Amino acid sequence: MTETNGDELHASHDVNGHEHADTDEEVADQQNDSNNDVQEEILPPKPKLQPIIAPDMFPPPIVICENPENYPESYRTNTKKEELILTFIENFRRQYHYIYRDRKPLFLNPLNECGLPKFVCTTVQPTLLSFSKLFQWNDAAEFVADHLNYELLEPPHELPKTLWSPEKVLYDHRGNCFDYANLLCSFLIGAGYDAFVVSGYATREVCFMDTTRLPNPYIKKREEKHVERVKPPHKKYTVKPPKDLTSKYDAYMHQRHLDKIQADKNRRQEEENKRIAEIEKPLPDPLYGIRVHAWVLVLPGKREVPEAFFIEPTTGYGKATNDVEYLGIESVWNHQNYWVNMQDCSNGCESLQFDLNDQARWEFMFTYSTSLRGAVTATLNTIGNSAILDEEEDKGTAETTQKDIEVPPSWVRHLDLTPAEFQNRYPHSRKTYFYKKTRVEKYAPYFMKDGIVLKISEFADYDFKELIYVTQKYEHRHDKLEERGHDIRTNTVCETYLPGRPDQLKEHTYGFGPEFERTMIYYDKARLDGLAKRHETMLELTDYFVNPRLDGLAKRHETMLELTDYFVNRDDFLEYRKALFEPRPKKFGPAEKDNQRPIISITERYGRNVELNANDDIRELVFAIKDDKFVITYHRDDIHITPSTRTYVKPINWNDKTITIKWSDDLLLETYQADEDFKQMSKRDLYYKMLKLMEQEEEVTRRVQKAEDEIRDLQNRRQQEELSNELEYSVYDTERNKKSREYRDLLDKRDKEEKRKREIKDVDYLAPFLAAIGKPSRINAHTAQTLRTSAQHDFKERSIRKANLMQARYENEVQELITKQQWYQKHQIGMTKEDELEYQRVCQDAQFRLHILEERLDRHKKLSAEKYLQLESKLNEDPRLKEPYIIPEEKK
Amino acid sequence: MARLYDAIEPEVVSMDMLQNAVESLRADGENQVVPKEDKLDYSAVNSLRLDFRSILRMENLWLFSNLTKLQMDNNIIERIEGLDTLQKLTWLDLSFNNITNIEGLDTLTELTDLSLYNNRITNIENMDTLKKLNVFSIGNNQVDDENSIRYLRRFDNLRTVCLRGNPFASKPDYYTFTIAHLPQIHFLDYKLIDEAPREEALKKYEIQIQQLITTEDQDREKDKKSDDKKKQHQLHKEAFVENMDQNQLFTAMFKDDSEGQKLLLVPGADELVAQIEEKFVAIVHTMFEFGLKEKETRDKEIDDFWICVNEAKDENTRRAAVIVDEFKEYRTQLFAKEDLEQQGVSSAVAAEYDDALTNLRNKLMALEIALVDQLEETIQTFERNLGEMVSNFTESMRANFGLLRELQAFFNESIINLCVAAVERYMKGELDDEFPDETRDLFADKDTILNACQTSDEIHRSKLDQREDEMFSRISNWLTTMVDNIHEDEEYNRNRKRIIEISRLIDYLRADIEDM
Repeated sequence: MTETNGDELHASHDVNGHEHADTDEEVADQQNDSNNDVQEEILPPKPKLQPIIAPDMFPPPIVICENPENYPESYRTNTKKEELILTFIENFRRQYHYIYRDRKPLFLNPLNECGLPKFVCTTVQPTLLSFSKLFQWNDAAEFVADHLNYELLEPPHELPKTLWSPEKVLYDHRGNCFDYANLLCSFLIGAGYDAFVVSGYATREVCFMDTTRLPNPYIKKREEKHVERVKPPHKKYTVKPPKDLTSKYDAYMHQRHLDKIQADKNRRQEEENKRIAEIEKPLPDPLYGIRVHAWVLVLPGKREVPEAFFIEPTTGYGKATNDVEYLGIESVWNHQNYWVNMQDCSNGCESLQFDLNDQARWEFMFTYSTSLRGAVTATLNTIGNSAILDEEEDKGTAETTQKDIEVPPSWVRHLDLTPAEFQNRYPHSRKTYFYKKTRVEKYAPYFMKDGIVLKISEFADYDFKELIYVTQKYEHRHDKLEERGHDIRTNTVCETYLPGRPDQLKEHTYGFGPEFERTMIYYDKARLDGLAKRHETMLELTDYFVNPRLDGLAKRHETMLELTDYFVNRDDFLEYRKALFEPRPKKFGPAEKDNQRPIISITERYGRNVELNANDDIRELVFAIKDDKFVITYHRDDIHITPSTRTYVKPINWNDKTITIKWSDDLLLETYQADEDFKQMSKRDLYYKMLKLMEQEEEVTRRVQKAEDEIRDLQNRRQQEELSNELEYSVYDTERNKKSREYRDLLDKRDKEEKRKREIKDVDYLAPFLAAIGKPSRINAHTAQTLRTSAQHDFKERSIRKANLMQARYENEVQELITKQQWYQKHQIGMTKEDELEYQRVCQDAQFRLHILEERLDRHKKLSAEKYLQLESKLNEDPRLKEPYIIPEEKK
Repeated sequence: MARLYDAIEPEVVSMDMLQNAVESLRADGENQVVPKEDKLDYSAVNSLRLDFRSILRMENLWLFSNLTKLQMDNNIIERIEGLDTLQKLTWLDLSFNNITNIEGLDTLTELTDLSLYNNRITNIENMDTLKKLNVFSIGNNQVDDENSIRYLRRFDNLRTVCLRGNPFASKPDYYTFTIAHLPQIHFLDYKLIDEAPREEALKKYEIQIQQLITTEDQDREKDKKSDDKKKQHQLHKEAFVENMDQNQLFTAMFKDDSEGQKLLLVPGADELVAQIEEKFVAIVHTMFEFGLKEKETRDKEIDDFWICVNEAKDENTRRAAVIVDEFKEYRTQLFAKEDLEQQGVSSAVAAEYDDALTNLRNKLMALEIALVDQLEETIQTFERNLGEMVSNFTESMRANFGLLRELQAFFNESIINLCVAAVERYMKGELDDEFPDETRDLFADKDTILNACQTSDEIHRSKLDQREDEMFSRISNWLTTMVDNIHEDEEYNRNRKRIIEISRLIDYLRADIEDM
């Protein structure tokens, strides 16, 4: 890429300008070619470079589409204005090329899909679609990135010859970087951003949309908030800390040791980082710096944008204007103007200024009559300074350049998307991205049967071979599954659910294999029992006995099972209940389902109930079922260092319901009271307490068994749910929800019916007569009278006509019948039985018809009088026939 | 009253009766699975039933200090008495007795349910302190008075009232009158009151009720004012500057001074008194302000002290508790291992446990000693600082009292001058008609008047001295009491308690191995 600054430009202009002042333009162009022969090797001459004034001098159009007649008029032809603009652009290009010989050609008027040159500014069609999701720049950019398939520029260091309309890009789901930028810019300007398409140069990674070196954007934020404990301010009477008697030297040595370890760790970490950086460094690029790319620039000022930034349209990321990935800018444009960058880009975009009104830095194409960008009329700018202008004036072209001209409106049809298309989002409803060690697959909602919308696979290596973690996100699932994370290494699965499940499950973590942990987190507010979390662990215990025992067992293999329920916000302050199950020797074969595992102990932990005395408030209640004991630990008072405890032993015959348990002093095994002043419980109280504890034990055991059952139920249910992966449709989604659609259709139908009925009701009697006199907005009393009489007259006439018609038909029928009868009487003798029957049938029919006609006539006579009265009253009430005789405009 | 009065011998509330009543409430019935306790623990009983017993006098109940529910219906009680110590009572049933007056309920502030059904009460009264009253039954009595109904307006929590069977309840407008005047109740005679009749009734008695509300509001306002005043006075008293916010001290100086008051009749004394009073009050007021400010700083200092001391204690307790918890964990593990063998504790383990126990004891004791040291030092600092504050206060006040004395001296001088001048003029007979008769002889000669002045001066001075002494003695008393209390509670009692707790714990834990 060659770049020159302004001063050099003028110098070169002076030299070249005089040389070629009087030469033919073609010669000048050839001169240009020869001057830029270095460039020529890479850039083959383009038809655009030829000096063209008239449109017929364009090269033969490259027809890109097979059937251009399918496109609207504006796509196939250029209006006069557009042609004029093209001429101006050509002029601009020539001047530009003339002055800045060593700069690359500008992207000004590529061919559209019908092979017609179009000015790039008119290809931008600002559009605000009716989706709130496209209103923010990041959403819009993401949508564009998702919606299209990327096509590379061919060759990568050259501007494309064509630029499709954003409409075609939107419907074809594909495009190159210019198409991407053009479409995104259309959306952003439509949404009120000050956005521009940028034509420039970028690195290979950006041009190839190679995201495999970028970190995964979906990475979970796993860092936890570090809570700083605020140390209370030192108060006057804060007690002195007790004397520290530890050796300072020891502490120092220990610290030194720790520091050394830390330093070692840091060093290793650094080395590791270096190694990773080495791996991740991209390979050298032979075309570095000349790869053409297009992206979007958003300037501050509108929509509360604080400072200028780039958007990479192919990925949808926002980037800083000094991003190292962007290597230079040739030009920027929006739907109103075109600016050529005059700043040095040898350092990339780092030092670029984006004040487009700064003429020294940005050469604009149109000067607006007002200095504000956004005004409609503009003057064509001539490049450089007045020196050129003078020359032009000499040549008599000044009038054309000085004249106010307008950028013609966009030739692109309005962009539109149906909600279904918007929802489908991706080409073919799915798209796959690659990031550093991560593969991301996106699906449109409802596209996959199991409701998956996003699948993120994380790998350990750069070649996407060793899978470590898979995250799947779902939508609209019947079982409310929202996300499933599968850690391949530890073989654990973590599922999260949306609220609304019958079991109020919120999160479910489980593993596979013999040693497992299962955690269920619930929506505790929705559960009556306040269950917040349930935790089940199975631990494999393997004991090795050093001393061989009598039975020679040297190794014991058992499974310990722990089941803990955590509660919140309970009235009885229960915090958790932990059950420990008897280890069971491993059995092979099918597990007995109904067999409840024997319980060793159940521990209940309670929170502090401030209404009770601390010494009466139970903190921990252990039902040692196997040992037939109850251990109660009370809460600790603030002034005491020990909690009171009490241990009961269950009576021997506790299981026998027939025997009344008697109190004996042995039942209370031990008591410890933190203070002698604490109330001693009477024997009676102790006795009842124990009875209560025994009842409680039964209850608690039942609850634990219920919890176990619930776990099993859950497993079964989850399996069933997984099998029947039905998606649910919102009642508001009339496209998909069948019931809802039917209902909607019914409503529509009813609406239409109603409308039709109303229309029938409100037949305007006066309309034809008003139309006859040319629908005046005002009429006078006389006309009103005429209208009235003519309406009445018309009605009378019509009813008479109707009556006559019926009368005539009636008479016809009668006539026919008579003829038939006469015919019958004539031929009566020689008739066959069939003919006679036939005759009788005809007669009956005729009589039936006569009867009907008679009835109708009768009814008409009766009704017409009524109807006439109705008409009269209607005409009397009609506001148009009353003062002030104003005929309102008819509504469509 | 269920039984004939004459036919029954009144019973006395005796120990046996109470014992039976308490026992019968226990639900184990005849099985006697629990051995009877030999002694009746009165404070453990919270519910007592003494019905259908022909009790005449409510007596011998004062020991049941934790009683919440007392049933004494269907007796022949004539007076409500002996309930003063039963302050936790929430439920009191005295229905079917012979009570004629409501009385003796003043201390039962927790009472929510009160039944006086079927008695001989004519007036609802003497219940002002029962703020929590929720259900009140006074049916079948002799209430025949609108004021009794109005009396019930003051119970904001009252929801249910039973009034039927009273002469008042047979009046035609009884229902409307009652529901209009008691808007807070939901049930009258155990029937829900509907909205519609309530609104009608309210309309009917709108004017009377409006008047009632106005007077009630005024009363409330008055109560509030006097309350505020009392609080204010208490605050001043705690700052040792009570009655110094206005000219109380100045007026007090003249109040007991009959001679002085006569002297003030001297021409020119009015102006002098006004002048002196102004200066005097100004000084007293600065003293007052200073006193309040000093109190504030003292309070802050005390708060600061307590916050720090409590923090230190809590931290220490927490650490000790952690140590205890850790030990218990260790103990469980130690014995869990042993239990597998089913043979009791082996001697090795016992020895180890014993060592650990000693170690635990040492640790806890060390923590306690450290805390004692810390607290001692802090308390000393606090004592010193507070002492400084008090002496500062005293000195400043003394200076101000000095000013007051000077002012008094100046006043005395001025009044002597005035009196001498007046006497001279009187001698000359210029002031004949200006003196009232009783003071005339005072101005008869110079000596008498000078004596009078001196007496007055002495009285004034002694008043000032008295005030000063009172102030200083009270503040020093306050300081001594507080510091002594702190020493007693924080240093001695707390330490003693902790030490006992530690040894209790150690004994309890040691029992584990001693049993073996």
